[in-house]
Amino acid sequence: MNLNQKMKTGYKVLIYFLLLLVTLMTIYPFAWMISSSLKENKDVFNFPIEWIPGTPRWKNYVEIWQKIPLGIFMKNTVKLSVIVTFLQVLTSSFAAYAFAKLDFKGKNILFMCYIATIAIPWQAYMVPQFIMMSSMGLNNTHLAIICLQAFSAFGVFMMRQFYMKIPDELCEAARIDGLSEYGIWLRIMVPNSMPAITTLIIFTFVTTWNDFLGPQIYLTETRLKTIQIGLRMFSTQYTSDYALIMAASVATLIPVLIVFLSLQKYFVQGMMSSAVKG
Amino acid sequence: MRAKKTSSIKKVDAFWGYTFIIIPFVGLILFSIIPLIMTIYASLTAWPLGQSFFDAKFIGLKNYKELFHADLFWKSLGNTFFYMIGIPIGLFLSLIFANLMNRGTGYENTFRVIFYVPVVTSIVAVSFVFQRLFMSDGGVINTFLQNIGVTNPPNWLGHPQYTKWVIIIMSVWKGLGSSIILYIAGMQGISNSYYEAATIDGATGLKMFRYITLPLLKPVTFYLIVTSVIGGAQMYVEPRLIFAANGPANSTFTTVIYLYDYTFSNSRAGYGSAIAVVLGVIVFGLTALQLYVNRRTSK
Repeated sequence: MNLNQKMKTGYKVLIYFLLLLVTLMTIYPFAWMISSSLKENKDVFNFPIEWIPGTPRWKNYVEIWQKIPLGIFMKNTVKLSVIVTFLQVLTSSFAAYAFAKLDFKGKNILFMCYIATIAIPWQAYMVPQFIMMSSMGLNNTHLAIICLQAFSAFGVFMMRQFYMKIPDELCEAARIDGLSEYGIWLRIMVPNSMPAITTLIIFTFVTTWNDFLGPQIYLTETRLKTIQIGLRMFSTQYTSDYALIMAASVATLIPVLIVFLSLQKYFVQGMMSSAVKG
Repeated sequence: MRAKKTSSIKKVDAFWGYTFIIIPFVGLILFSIIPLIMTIYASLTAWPLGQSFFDAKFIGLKNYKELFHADLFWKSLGNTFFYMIGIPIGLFLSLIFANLMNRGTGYENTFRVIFYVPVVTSIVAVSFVFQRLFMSDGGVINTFLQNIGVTNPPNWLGHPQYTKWVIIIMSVWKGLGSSIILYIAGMQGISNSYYEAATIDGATGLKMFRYITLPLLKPVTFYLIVTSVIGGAQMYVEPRLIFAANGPANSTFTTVIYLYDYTFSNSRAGYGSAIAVVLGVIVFGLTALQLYVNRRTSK
């Protein structure tokens, strides 16, 4: 019994040790980022690393807003991320409802189109898409980014997986009670699919917020640029201002962290029911 | 009577079905399917980016001929797939850590959140940090290696032998949280009765993992492989940001960088489209193959 218990304790210690190790490795770059962001530029590469700077240079966080138009970039990114996320969740859940709960001719073929689109990388058609948008006069507009990200084949697939598991009887009962199809979607499907919706919100918001290639192609005017392009601009213009670049990186990370942390409660459940059982 | 009722519901269904699907599907056609068809046609033309798509001169398979003879293209394709070494490494690590975290440490949620932070962090910021971490002079990693006695630490960013590994390490680090969460979700879906039955039969931890957990997690693994291959084929930002040009001896160059440069820098959209078609066909083919294999082995 004693041996057994000892083994169990040893095992537990090992588990914690391994988890702690990988946690450290995960946190390390962030710790370095935050710590550097509060230093004088010349101190960033001092070794051994001074994790908590003696006199934190909070001024870095003021200067970043003055050196490049970070405020404009931030505003643009918030606007795009919020609109794209809202539209993508809406269109995805609309299509998903049709695919999961309604019968219509051509349903399978349409669904195959969606699956096929997931399997084709966006880069394969980004050029004609860009030309098409330009010919519609949408080059250098936020509308271009919104249009091309408002519809997501992956989002439709994910929401459909979740809707499939909501019992048909619920919809039938609502139909008998006289609810219209839109009513069923709004009152039955949406409230019952919060884990899937929050998961899609996290995915879409994070993707749009962090998107690089899309804005790089479509948004060439400074007043339209997004935060990732701005960050890149910053790091090429002030190559050696490590402390400031780190401060800007931290600043751009905060909003996306807030969104993630406030929604993460449903996240695992959402992932489980929508993505896993494909 | 009953049959009639279902058919009338079906009719209602069909009408409403279309009302729900119409906007999303028009979006899909307009912004994905039409551009896709345009790409296929454009790949058969000499199309300078500035020129109208409809004026592009048809040149048959010339772009493809040129492409298949371009060493740089094969190099880029080789690199793109080399990066995918990170996929099995990431899967292996996330499986281990998901398994550890799932053992009632009491802090699952904390770990989960911590591991997911790299996933939501922008690649621009992460690339910048990793570039500094891997610097050969004064970079944190090499300083550490020197301190523990490695006299000649690798020139991570300067030698073609190591450059790809910087990107692989970074991608694994960044993606780990996402696969861990999916594996945990999968593990929580496995009924305890399997393990109880196995315990009665005298199975130990490792055996249970091998014969119960692993097979039941197969859908998750499958999903992760499929999505990682699709994502991996799109590698663009990471090498571009860490290695300003294409890395020493083009060692970090990828197919999407090739596609981007030919289209936007050299303005050869026709040639760029041929690259896009080849890449699309490869990824689509790989996905179809995986689906096929998965279906065969599941039966």
